This record gives sequence, structure tokens and C-alpha cells, in this order.
Amino acid sequence: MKMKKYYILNLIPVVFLSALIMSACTDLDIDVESELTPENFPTQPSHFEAAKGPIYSNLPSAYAIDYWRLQSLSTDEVLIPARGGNWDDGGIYRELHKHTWTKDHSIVRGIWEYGFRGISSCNQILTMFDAVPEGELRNKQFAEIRMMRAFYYFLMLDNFGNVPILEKFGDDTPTSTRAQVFAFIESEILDILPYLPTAKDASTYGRPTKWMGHALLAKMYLNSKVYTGQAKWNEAVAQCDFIIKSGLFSLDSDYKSMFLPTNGPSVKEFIFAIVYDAFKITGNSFTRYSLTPELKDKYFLGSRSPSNCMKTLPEFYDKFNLPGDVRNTTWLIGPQFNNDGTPITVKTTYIKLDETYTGPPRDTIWQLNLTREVWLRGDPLKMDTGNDWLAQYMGARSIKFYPDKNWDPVSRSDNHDFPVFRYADILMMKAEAILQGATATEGDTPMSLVNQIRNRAKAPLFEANPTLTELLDERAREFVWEAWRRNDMIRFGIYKDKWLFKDTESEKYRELFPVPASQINLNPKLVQNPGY
Amino acid sequence: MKNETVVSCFRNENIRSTLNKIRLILTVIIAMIVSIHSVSGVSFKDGAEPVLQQNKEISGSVKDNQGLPLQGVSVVVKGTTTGTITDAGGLFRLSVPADSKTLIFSFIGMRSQEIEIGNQLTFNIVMAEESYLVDEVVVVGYGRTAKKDLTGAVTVVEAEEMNKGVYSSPTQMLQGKVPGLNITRSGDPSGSASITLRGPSTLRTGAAMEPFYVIDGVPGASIDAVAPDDIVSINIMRDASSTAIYGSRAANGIILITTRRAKTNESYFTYNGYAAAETVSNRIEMLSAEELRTFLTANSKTPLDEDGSSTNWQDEVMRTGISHNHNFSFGNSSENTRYSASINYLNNQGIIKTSSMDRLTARISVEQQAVNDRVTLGLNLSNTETNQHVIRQELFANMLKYLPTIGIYNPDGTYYQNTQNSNYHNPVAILDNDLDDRKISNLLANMTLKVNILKGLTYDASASYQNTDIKRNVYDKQASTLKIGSNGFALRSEYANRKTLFENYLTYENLFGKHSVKILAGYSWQQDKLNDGFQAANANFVTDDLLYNNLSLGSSPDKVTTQERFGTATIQTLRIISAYSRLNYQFADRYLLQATIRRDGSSAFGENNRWGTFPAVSVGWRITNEPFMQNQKLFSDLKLRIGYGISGNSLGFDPMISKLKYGLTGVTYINGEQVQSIGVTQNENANLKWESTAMSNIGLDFAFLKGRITGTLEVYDKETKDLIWYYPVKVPPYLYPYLWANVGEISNKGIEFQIDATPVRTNNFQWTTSFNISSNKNEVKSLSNDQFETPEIGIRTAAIGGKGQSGNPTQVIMEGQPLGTFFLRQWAGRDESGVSLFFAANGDKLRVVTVDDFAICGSAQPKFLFGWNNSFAYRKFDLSFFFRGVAGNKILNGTLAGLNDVNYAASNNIPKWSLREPVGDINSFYYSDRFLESGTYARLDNATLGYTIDLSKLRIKSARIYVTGNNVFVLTGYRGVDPEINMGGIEPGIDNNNFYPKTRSFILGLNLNF
Repeated sequence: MKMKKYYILNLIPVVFLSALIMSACTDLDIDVESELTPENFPTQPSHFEAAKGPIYSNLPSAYAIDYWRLQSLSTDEVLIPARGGNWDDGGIYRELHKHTWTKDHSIVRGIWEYGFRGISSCNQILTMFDAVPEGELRNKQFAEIRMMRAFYYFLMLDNFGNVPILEKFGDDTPTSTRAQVFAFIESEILDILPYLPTAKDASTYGRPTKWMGHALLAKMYLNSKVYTGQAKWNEAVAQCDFIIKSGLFSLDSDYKSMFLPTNGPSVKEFIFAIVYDAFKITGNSFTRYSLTPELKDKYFLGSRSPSNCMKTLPEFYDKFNLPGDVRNTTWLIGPQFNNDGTPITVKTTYIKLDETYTGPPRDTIWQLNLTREVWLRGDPLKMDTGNDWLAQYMGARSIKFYPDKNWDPVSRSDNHDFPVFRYADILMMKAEAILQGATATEGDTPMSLVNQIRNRAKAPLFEANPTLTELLDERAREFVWEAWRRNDMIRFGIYKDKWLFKDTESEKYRELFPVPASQINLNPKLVQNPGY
Repeated sequence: MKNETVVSCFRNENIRSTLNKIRLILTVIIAMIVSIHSVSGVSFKDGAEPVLQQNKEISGSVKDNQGLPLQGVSVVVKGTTTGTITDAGGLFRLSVPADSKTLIFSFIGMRSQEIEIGNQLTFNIVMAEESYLVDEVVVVGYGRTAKKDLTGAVTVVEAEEMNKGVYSSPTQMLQGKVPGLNITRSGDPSGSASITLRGPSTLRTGAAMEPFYVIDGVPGASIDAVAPDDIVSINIMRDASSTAIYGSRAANGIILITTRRAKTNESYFTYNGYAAAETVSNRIEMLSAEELRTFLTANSKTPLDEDGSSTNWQDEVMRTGISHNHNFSFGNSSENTRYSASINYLNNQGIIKTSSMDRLTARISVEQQAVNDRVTLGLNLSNTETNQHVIRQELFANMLKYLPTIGIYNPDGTYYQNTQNSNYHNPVAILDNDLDDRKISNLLANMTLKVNILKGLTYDASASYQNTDIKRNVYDKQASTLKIGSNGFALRSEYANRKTLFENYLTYENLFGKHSVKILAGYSWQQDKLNDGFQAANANFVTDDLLYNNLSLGSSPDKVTTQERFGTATIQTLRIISAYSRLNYQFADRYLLQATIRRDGSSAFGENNRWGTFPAVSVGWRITNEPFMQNQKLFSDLKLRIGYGISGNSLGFDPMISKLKYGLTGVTYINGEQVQSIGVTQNENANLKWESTAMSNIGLDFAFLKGRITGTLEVYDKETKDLIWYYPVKVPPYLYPYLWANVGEISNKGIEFQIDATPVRTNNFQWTTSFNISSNKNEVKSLSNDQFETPEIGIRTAAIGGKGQSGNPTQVIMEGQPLGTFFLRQWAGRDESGVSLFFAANGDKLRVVTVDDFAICGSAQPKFLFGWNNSFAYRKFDLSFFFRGVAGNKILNGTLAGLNDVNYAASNNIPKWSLREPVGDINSFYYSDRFLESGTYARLDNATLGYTIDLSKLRIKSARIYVTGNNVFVLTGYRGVDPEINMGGIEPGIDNNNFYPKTRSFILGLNLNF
């Protein structure tokens, strides 16, 4: 008995500890408690709607700022000059203005990544949805995703031209020619058109519809000569007609109402728009970049100041010269007044007003005055206007995307949705295609089509068909700051021209952006666009 | 058990069946041990057992060779566990079986003696010292060893050698004391020091770059939970042969902290306390209001903000900070029980108004011996409560650049603000309007068990639990300009980090003639569950009065971003399972061998690479014990050590790092509603594994003149491979454009030298001095392999922003260069208009250059680190002073560059230094090599004068008062506030306006020992 007692005494710790050793040993699998991993997502049909989200949430991430800058700052439409070193940002805006960007340009890189991120998301989700059985549901789901992929491909086609066609997730194909990319997008859209939704209401707002498919095809055919060398004017007209004849779209009577921060599904004209929200879907900052700090009270912006950097070029502003044209009022220029009619003034000194002032220090009351002209008083190499009051208030400002008093005062994001395709563009595209030689249909003439636009703008009507130049100028007035100017200028062959501080004609190859150096590093199969 | 069996246990396949095999084998072994042990019956002296034999009483005394009694000497009857230890008078008394043959007297640091008992009843023993290293016992991983037996690079810093000062973390006490240990500390009472040991060897930051802490045997315990006064010693294990026992977490070295325990038969009660006054040690002198007006008028300008005031913003936000610390500790050790306890309170006011930190630490440790002293149970508990008032970063730039020509307040009593000028905030208003309060509670409980199974065989086990609870409360008042438009913004969060750990190991120790063998084998299981908590925020409050205390009163949760409202922290659970073993072998006290191996499994790594093996081996040669050295008098000790080992770095990981993750990828509009979309946010990398560091180390320990001069020389070569970096990858095939992958290699080579000497030792006066110097050469060897590449131009980092320089790097991580290589504009003088020019890549001098024209121009890695301490004792006075410094490093003085915008002095104040700049220089503020300065400095870090008072009449054993000056002066050519700039992380050596100023403090302290 005694022996046994000691035995037990000895055994207690040993047993206790060996149990401890044995229980745990080598199990390293940890339950995931607070994150989504393949173990728990997407595993149910209801997950797929959220899983489709990245296709759409990627879209606003760059469209209204970086994509827009690439389309607009590289034209005669918008300018961001340096201001005493501020806003130089390594020369990225200056390089766009002067067509001197390199293959390391950060916005170019960002947009390549943006487009392929969208394409890759689509492919990834197509793979994920491969389990959905054949049938109408599958066709609809796939059509939606493929339409969005086609749209991302269109952005790549327009900006980079020769890009790899990735149809399946994991595809590792080499660069295709621009014409091949064109054909791919065309066949994709034609293939899925029957399955795309046809309603125009809140349920399809911001999502692909059959009409978006037609609008995209119209845009492609209109630019077909640029993209493939082969004109497709009649095809462009036919696609426009699908939309016109649907009767679902019409011009909103108030031009400016389309661009209010409150715009949304009720805009009659929007065929496809990108939805933004100041707090939840950020990425649109027109209020921030266009206005000057002194205007914040007038537009009820609260205490946070706008950044005051984007202005238009004087010659471009001059296009807004039609009497009565409501579009003229989307610009701020000249002396500025409060809503009650009193001048907006600042108390300042002569030297702050003008850095070059050399007289004795003097205070002054100055009325905010936005000049038509923009000229360089700082370092010309930096395209620098200087940073005194005169420099800060150079250039007309756009309030087409009307200043948003409900912006997020921290991130300074706006609520405006951004139109990609709208009915006015369909009318203008049809007019242009006919002017270029397409057969007129439905009794429309270039004049009748463009006059619909002019009529809505309360501008004088054409009494004969417009010339191509007149039509382009009309596009400038109608679609200013809607990210189409680069596309238009290339189609009309004037993207190479000189403007303001761009004092040399650029070479043809600038009509495509370079494949970013960082991407070629990652993927040696990519072929650089000629010229870079 | 064959080796292969062990290895295959940890392979993925057949784990269960192998496990069963191991279980069976272990159970059999344990059963055998237990049964042999019990059957032999020699062990337990239990009153109930019939006494079969006659006992006899023996007694005696043990003294050292100077005749002083030795306490704590173990007296054991050979071959049994019958024994005792000597008391304070060196006396012992023991009842032994009548037929006992031999007594063994042993004491660490002394030569053991075996004495025949025969008929003798009293024994008077004189023990001889083994060497001058009398009783230096060093805590090593999972055990202790005599310092003389070490074969690795281990530095022990005893409490009395540590830095004294207003320290919130024990690491600060080591600054300058250990060669190779580079610590840079902040003046912020809530800030932490950055630490790198033997050079940076990872591209990840935070814990990944810092040593691993083991506190009283608990690996991974929080360093901040220990009050500096409770520490008796800190061991810094620097080379892989010492650290590899901690396997995958040991690559940056191990810091072992030991807190005070009652020694055998000791009873103590002590009070240590101090009060300190801290002031800013140096500042950038900005123009006064008058100077600025004069300067601007001369340039036909006027200040943007002007109301005739003359405000010195630095004075307005700074103060003399008062700090005090009190530590009561007591302990007692009696026959079977031992306890020690302490309570510590630190209140540290920062020198920036409203900043503060206070901390209450309570610690208790109890040990009880049972079952005839064969089983020892222990419980250690410590709890720390810390309150911090943290200052917003924006203050530090604004207290310099805010115009002095404006007053703090508007005439109506509100704060003056100018929201037009960007990043421009009234500094005093920041202090008042923007609160960031934190409360951190840390509980560490550790239960220990030690069983003496057989002579020489012990079993140790411990279970520990650590819970750190972090509460954060933020409030920006309605008038805050940091949170404009929020009209009152409140954020609260509370997160808990829990760590559970089981350790158990067997140690066997024996002497076979001249062969001494010690074997350790252990197993540990650890699970850390971090970030278990939540965050909430709201905005638009009707009043500031309630601060962050009632979130429900805010009316605009929609104005708060999702990130602010709910936080982004996710639960991170990390499990680490390890088996480890160590062999120590000694022959004739001359040849030492240590071999360790650890097998670690961590859930943080990819499925294919979760297990790693970390071996190390080292040898030592105690040359002075060789027969041929017996006749020389020069060396009292000479030991050569050579070691090699591999350790890993798995610190600072999100355990989800290798997995495919989905997360929020923005909001999308679906049928009139804004819905969160969910997409891939992280790629999977099933091959991800730890960074591994192979280090070889050669060390030489020497002692001359009977230990009056001792020293150590170490040379090491540390190669780290499989560095983890976030590589850009192609989408597709990857789902996400970046991937965490193991690619790079980094090398650190260095030499470390330490010497301690006692030049003078008389009855009344003693002078001891110690000096250490170390040098490390860091080089990034590779950043690419055939699968993942970084561009040839390297990884451009440290884009610290600044006017017109967004996105411009100031450093580059590049093959062939050290980490922290500066990459800057090259200043090329000025043109005729006084505008700074910079060299273009082709040699032209231009006003405007691009990043491609930048050039490499020096490194933030110091060439040398040194520390030099001197202590004098004269009768009852003691005096010590300690210098430390670094040499050969570069600092980018971004603060000065940013302030040097003379052209815009009307909107941002400029330093006096800038008056020499031509006013028209529109490029004056660009970061360029013009602002890259030498970071060399020498600092009188600490000077202490103490006096010991005889208060024995008051029954106080000892009493000492002292005064200490911290950071008394700095010798440096650096133009910034202080050349001690964060040298940790991957962007070291950048002075960018964003740190809490350095301080100088004067301390009055008292130590009482009852």
C-alpha cells in the first residue's frame, strides 16, 4: 500500500504534464474568426452579389480624377499649372499638358493598373461563377460581367491600344494589336446584347444595360478609323438608332440639372453613369479642384477650403461665345460676387497681390477676379504661374459639376454621378457619322440632330448642316470636362496641335499612352507602343 | 527513438499515427522512470515510513578561503537527496543515516568537495573559488549556467550598471551598455524606444526588427509590464548559438529579464524613489515676431497672420515636466516558502503641456516547496495599469512654423485659426481641442512547477497567461481644425491581446569523472490572440463637455468613415508549437560544447512551410585551465568561443499573411442602394516562410591581473535570407497585384569590444570603468530572385512629403547598399538669381530635376556605437558618469529643410538659421544632400552623485540619496534638435518634424533598505 501511495504522488505531475504535451502537439490550424477567406466566402448564392462588387467599386476609384486627368489635362481643355512649387507634383500635370510624359508617368501607370484591375476582377468573378448551371440566370450574370469587361477593355483600347486580351482568369497572353482588341470588344458585346437588361430605371442605374452596349459600340464605330484604320460610319449610325428608337431616353430640359450633386437615376439622358457618393463612393472632387478658397462661403462649403488648381485654357474658354447659351454660365470668370450681389473681397497687401510689386508696403481691398488669361510668372520650366493672388486667380473655373455643399469636408469628395454615355452624345455621334458620309436614317440630318442640343442649351440654332469643325466645337461646349476631349481631338487629328504652354507639335505616337515601365518589368510578354 | 521518427512527427502526413507512436513511447518512458523511482524507495523521507536505520546528527561550518562564512552551500549525502544548505553564518546541521559514507559540499562558483564521513560528527570546510568569476550565474533560455561555461555572446547587465533616469521602459536602461545593441529613444513619455541588435536584418518594421523578450522565463512577455526598479539583471544574447534555443523568434537576439526574488534565507524591504524635473534639451530657434517682421519688411512682405502679437509658440506649448517614481519591494525566504512582491508607481509628465503617462505596477511571486522539497510550485503575478495622454503629431511641426506675429486667442476668447493655410493649426489649440487618451492594462500570470525526479533530472513546467487590454479615447472638439467639419468627433476603441503559453522541459545534469553533461529537452505550445475588440466613432456633438464619453449623443455617424466608425483591426490568432533540445558537454573544465536544436511550427506561414528547424552549435576553450597556462600570471581567464547557428524571424506577423483574403473593396450602387462590395485583398502564398538568419560568432573573453581588467571581443557574420517583402505581381495569374514573398538577403558583419577595469582599489577609494564599442556593416545583398524582382533602381522609400515633393523618395533600398541609404537631390550651388540648383544625371546644374537625377549619398547606419562608464566610490560617496554616442551615420534634417522656405516666410515662420539664405531661393526647402548631416555625437548621458547615510540607529540597513543628471550635454555638429534620431525600421535616420523633443532631466532619488 505504501508503495502505491508514492507511486501516485510521483505520477500526478508527470501525468498532468504528459497530458498537456499530448493534447496539443502539432496542430497549427487556426479558426478564422474575423476575416473572409475561401473557407467562408463566397459559399452561398447571396454572396455573389457582393462578390460582383469589385467590378463596380473599381470603376469610380479612378474615373473622375486620374482617368479624367489623363483625358483632359493632355488636351486644350484643362490646365493645372504649378504655383510657386505647389502643384508641381513631380511634373505630372505639366508632362500631360506638353505631351512629354514618359513610360514611368504615375497617372499613366495608375490607369493601366486601373483598367486591368477591372478586367481581372471580371475574369476572376467569371471563374467564380462558373459553377452556376446553364440557363437564363447564368446568361444574365455572365452578360453583365462581360459587358463591364468590354467597357474596361474599351478604356484600354482608347488609351493604350495594343494590350493583351485576357478572356479567362489566369490567361497569360501576349499583346494583341489594337484592331484585334477592337474586334474582341465588338464580338463580346454583340454576343451578350440579348441577355443584357433593357430597363432604364433605378434597378439598372450605374449597371450595364443593352443600351450601354449599343452606346459603346457606337463610340467604337465612330472611332473605328482611329482604332483599326477602317471607318465604320454607317455602323455607328445604326447603333445610335437602336438607342434613339428605344424611346427610353431624351434630353433633359435643363442642361445644368444633369450635373448637380443630386443627379441620379432620374436624369433622362444618362445611358451609363458612374455613381459617386461624398462619403461612401469617393473619387470625385470637382468642387475641390475647381473652386478657390474665397468662394467657399458663396457655395456653402463650410470651413474647409477648395484647392484651387484646375482652370481652362483661354482659347478653349473662348469657344463659349454663343449668345444665350446656358453652357456659358458653367464658367466662373471676371470679378466675383456674393449671392446678394456684393463683391467678394479680400483684405490684403500689394505685395501679396503681386509678388513683383516693389513699392512701399500698402494694404488694399481686392475683389476676387478670375482672369481669362493664364501666364507664367514663376519658373517657366515648372510651368509655374507664381503663387501670389494674381497667379492664384488666373483662368476660368468650371462649375458645370456644380459645387457640392454636401461634400465630405475631410476628403473633399463630391456626390455628383459622372456620366459616361448620355443621349446628347448619341445624337452628336449620329450627326458626326452622317457628316462623315454615313447614310442618314430616320429623317435625321446633322443639323436637326445638333439643333436638338442647341435648342436645349438655348443657343442659336444652325440654319444649315454644321461643318465638322463646328461640330467639334459644339462637342467641346456640350461635353466639356466629361473626359471625351482627348478622344475627340484624336479623331479630328488635332491632338498633336500646340496650345498655351505646349509650344511644339507632338508626334503621332502620343495618341497612345505608353505601356508603363513597371508593367513591362512584371510581364516581359508586353510589347511597348511604338515611339516610347 | 530514432531521429527520423522525431522529424516525421512534424511532417504533415501521418501526423496522427506518429503522434500516437510518440505518446506510446513517452508514456512507457515516464512509467519506467516513475516505477524505478518508486520501487527503489530511496527518495522520500516521509514521517509515515518506518525508520529502518539509525540516524546520526552531524554539523559544521563552511567558509571561503578568506575565512568568511558562506551561506547557501548545499550539503548532501552522496547518492541520496538527504541534505541541507548552510545558513547566514555558514553553519549547517543535518541528520544522516548512520551508514552514510560521503558528504558533498557544493556552491556555484566554488569547487565542489566530497568529504568522507567516517566517524566524524563536525566538519569545518573551506571552499576555494573556482576562478574570479565567483558566483556569476547567467540565466539562459530554459535554465541557468555559470558564466564561465558560456560559449555564446551573452552580455549581462546588472541592476547597478543600468542607466538611471525617468524611464517608462526597461530597454532605456540598456542604452549604450551593450556592444551591438542600438537603442534610440524618444522624449515622449508615451513613446517607445527603437532597438536593433547587430544591425537590421529584415525589411519589415516594428516587432520584426526588435529583439525577443523573455521575462522571468516567459517568452514574449510585455517589456512594458516590468518596473525598472524590479529588475536585477538583463541578459542580452546576441549570437545565434545562444539564441537558437528560441528558434523562429530569435533572429534579432534575445533579451532575458530577471526580476528580484528573495534569496535563500533573505528577508528584505526596500524603497526606491525619485523626483525629476525635465526640460527640453534643445530646440530649433525660430524667428521672433519682431525678427520676422523686420525680415519680411526688408523683403516687402507682411505676415499672413498679424495682430501685433509676439508669440513664442514653443514656449506656449512646453513646460518643465515633473516626474516621480516610487517603488516598494519586499520579500522573504524561509525553509519551504519564498515570496517577493513589489509595487511601483511612475508619474511622468512630458515637457509638452497636457502630455503625460502614469503607471502602476504590482508584482508578486510565491514559491512553495513540497513533497520533501522535491516539488516546487510557484505563482508569479504582475499587473500594470498605464494611462497616457498622447499629443497629436501635428503639434510638432506647427509649434515651429506657426507665425509668431499672431496671438493665441481672438478678441472673443476663441482660438485664432487660419484654415486657408494648409497643415497649419494653432499649436495651443491642438493641445486643448484634440485629445487622445489611452489606458493600457497588462496582466501576466505565470504558474510554475519544478520536480526533482531523480538526482540530476528535473522537470520544469509553466503555464502563463498574459492579457493586454488597450483602451483608446479620442475627442476632437467642435473648434478643432484637425477634424474640420465634424463639429465634435469622438472615437473609442478597446482591444484585448491575450497570450497563452505552456512550456515544459526536462533537464538532466551529471558529472562523469572529467566529463560534465547537461541535456535539456522541451516542448512548448503558445497561442496569441490579438485585436479582440471593437471601435466606435461618431460626430456632430451638441457640446464638447462630455468629450468621448457618450458616443450616442453625436448625431452624424454618417459623417464618420467606415474605417473610423468600426476600425479595421481583425482578430489575429497565432499559434506556435515547438520542440527543443540542448546539449552541454564539458571536458576537464577546458573544452566546452553546446549544441541546440529547435523545431518550430507557426500558423502564420504558408501551408507548405509551417515548420522550420533551427540548429546551433558552439564550442569554447578555456585556455587558462590548460596545464601549460598554469605557470603564467598574466591571464586570470582566457576563453575562446566559436559558434554557428540558424535562427528565424517570425515576429511581428499578421497570422493571416499567407492566406487568400477577401475584404471590402469599396461601395457599389445596386438598385438604389449603396452596398459594400467584397473582393480579394490579399494573395495566398502557401510557400511563405520565416526569414532565417545564419550567424557565426567568434568571441574571446579575457581577464588580466586577477580580474582587475576583464573584457570581451566578438566578431560576427550574420546572413539573413528569405527576407519577406511585398512584391508587385502580375494580375492575373495573381488575384491581387502584390504578394508577400520570401526573396531578399541582407548581411550584417561586425565587431564588438568591451573592457571593464578597476584601475584603483584602495580601502577608501575605488574607480571602475567600462568601455564598449561596436561596429556593424549592413548590406542588402539581394532583393530579387528568378520569380520576384524589384527594379534595378531599388525600392525607393521614405517619401516624407513636403511642399512640391509628394511621392519623392529620400531613401532607397538597393542591392549592395545598406538599409537606410539616402537617395537625394545633389545640391549644386545657386544660380545668379540665388536659386538653388541641383545636379542632373548628366552633370548639368538645373533648377528642376526629377527623381532620376537623384543620387545615393550616404547611409543612416552608424559606423560605431560606444558607451563609456566611470564609477568612483570614496568613503560614503559614489559618483558615476556615463558617456555614449554613435559615429559615422548620416541624418536627413528634413525638419530644417522644410522650415527653410524663406520665400514663404509670410505664411510659415522660418528658423534663425535661414536668415543666411537668399530670399529669392524658391528651391531652398527641397530635401537635398545639403540637409544630409553627420549624425555623430557623444552624450554625457548620465551623471550621478550619491551619498550613503548611516541610519542603522533607525533600524534602516542602508540608505542612499543621489542626484542624477540625464542628457547633461551632447557634443555634435548636427543642426537639428538632437542627433539621436530613430535608427530602427527601414527608414532610419530621418528627422522630419514629427517627434517629441528630447529632454534633459535632473533627478533627486532615495534608496532605503530596511
